[in-house]
Amino acid sequence: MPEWEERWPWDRIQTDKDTREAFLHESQPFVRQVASQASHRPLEWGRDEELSEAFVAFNEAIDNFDPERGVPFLAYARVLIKRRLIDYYRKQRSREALSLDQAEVGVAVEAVLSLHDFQEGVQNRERAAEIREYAQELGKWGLAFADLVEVSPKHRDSRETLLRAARILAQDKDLWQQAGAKGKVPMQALAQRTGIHPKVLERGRKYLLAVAILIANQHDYIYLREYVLPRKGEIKQ
Amino acid sequence: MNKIKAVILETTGSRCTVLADDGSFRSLPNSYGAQVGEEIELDADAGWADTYKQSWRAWHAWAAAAALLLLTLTVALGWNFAQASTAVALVSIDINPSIKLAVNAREQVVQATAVNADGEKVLQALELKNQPVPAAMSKILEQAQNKGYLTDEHSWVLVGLAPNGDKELPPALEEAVKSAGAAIQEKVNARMAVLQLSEQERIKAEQAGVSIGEYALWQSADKAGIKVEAKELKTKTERVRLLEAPEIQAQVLKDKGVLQIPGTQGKNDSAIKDMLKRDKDKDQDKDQDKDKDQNQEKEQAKNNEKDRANLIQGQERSSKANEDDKHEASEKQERGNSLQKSVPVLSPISPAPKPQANENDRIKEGSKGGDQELEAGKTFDDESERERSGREQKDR
Repeated sequence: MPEWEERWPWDRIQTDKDTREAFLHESQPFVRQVASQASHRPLEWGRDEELSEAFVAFNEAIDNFDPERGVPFLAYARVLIKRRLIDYYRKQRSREALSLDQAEVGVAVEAVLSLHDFQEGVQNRERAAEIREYAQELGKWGLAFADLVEVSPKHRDSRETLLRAARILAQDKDLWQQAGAKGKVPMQALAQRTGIHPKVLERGRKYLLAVAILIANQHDYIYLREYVLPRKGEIKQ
Repeated sequence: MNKIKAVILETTGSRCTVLADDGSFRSLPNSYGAQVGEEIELDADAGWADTYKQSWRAWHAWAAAAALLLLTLTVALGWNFAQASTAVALVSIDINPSIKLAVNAREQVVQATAVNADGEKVLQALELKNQPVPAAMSKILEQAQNKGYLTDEHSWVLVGLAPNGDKELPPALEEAVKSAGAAIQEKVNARMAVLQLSEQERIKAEQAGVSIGEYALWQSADKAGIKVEAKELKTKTERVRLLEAPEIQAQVLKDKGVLQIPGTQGKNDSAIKDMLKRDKDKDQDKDQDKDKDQNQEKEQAKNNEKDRANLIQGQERSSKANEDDKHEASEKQERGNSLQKSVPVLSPISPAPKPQANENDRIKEGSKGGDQELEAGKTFDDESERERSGREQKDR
């Protein structure tokens, strides 16, 4: 989530208390999304204890994070949240069945993952998990990776045009809801909104949709989104 | 070259699909052996600008080549098949077993049909389809011999050849049949007559319900003045009677048929000679020297080496010979030579008398024929004119 992280200079998040508070506040939806996924049920602030656990993990992630390592912060935070929750559930269970399962007490997973340990292997597994989810999501829209290779625009200009349209589609709540409801891209509306000729959009329909899915689900595709969002230094349109 | 980052989305066989960080999906050979979720670096234009397009182009080239190959194969096979399965000629074999073979342009048997019960017995144990004609014939004859149909006593094999439809009779077919006949003659004292029919005659034969050979034999008998019912030819004894009649044998040879008769040459020879003499006497009784000439010719012809250069002249002169009493021995020699050439078939009968027969035939029928035939019957006032025309012919 580069465009988000870039707005938050890390030296200030980690040192300045107000900035950190603001960042934590803004990150609440992310924490909730990740925690809900890890618990396999929707969680509510103030009701579910898991969310507090997750929030603590997120807070620790900020402390441990080092932007120089070149790892996306949210990816790191997500792993920490998940581990924290796994640990949380394990403690819960052992508390309920203490007498039966003595051995497990105290054998907690290492809930705190140092950034040093957050190495390639873990990241790859994280990415692979994202990719599995992404493939499933594409399947719902009738798309597959092999199709995308064929429809992926070869020319830089046309690709960037479609990437721009995809960003607009994904970030425009109305348009994206329409797309979700109908199961297809609202071409006319998008053409009006972007000023791109409907023919161009129609031709790039599959690609456009695949990219928009990545961008719209900002909490799910932390790694994959990076590939379709403008690179650092490129002007955001 | 610019390197860009990409993540492996999918691996299929030796290829992988990646999402590159310029937002493009690409397919490239997984030379990295990378797993899903791994990040790799690749050239900015790898995965399609070169590899993908090239593979596409290569695929096109392959597809085109394969299509062409397939087309060629289809055409070749189709042609082969059409040629192999089209019967261009029919061969009938009558011993007592009667068998009909359909033959393709490559002189292979397309179909073998038994015409009577004995024929079925012979064919039962044989697989003749796609066999070359000589092999098929040999097998049939051997089988007939084994089953006792073809013996020294019952020794006649009547073979009929005819084209099928508008196709030409394969030129080597007659040779093929003859070689098969020669082969069986080593085992049994078989006598073979090979007769040909035209397409129209073959159809008539079919309408009459007789085989090609039987119809041809009936025709020859008819010409020789022996009247038989076509139906009677179906019986073996009647066939053999006709085949053994010297008049008919002579007629068969006149009609460019073939007689392959081992061992019995002397007897047949004289009988046929007699008959030919009779023919000649009929037509040319005023010409008293003729008999003498005939004998002379025969001897000369036997010793002759076949001299192509003399052929044209010989042909021409021979045609005039009928009317010309004064011609010299050398001329006669040439004539004998040329005429021997004009009858292509090997036979136990000396070839010399045949021209006579041919000419008679022609005069009777007012028929078809080569140069020497057209010239036949013309008279020349004197020797010089004859020679001039001879030169002219040569020039031509």
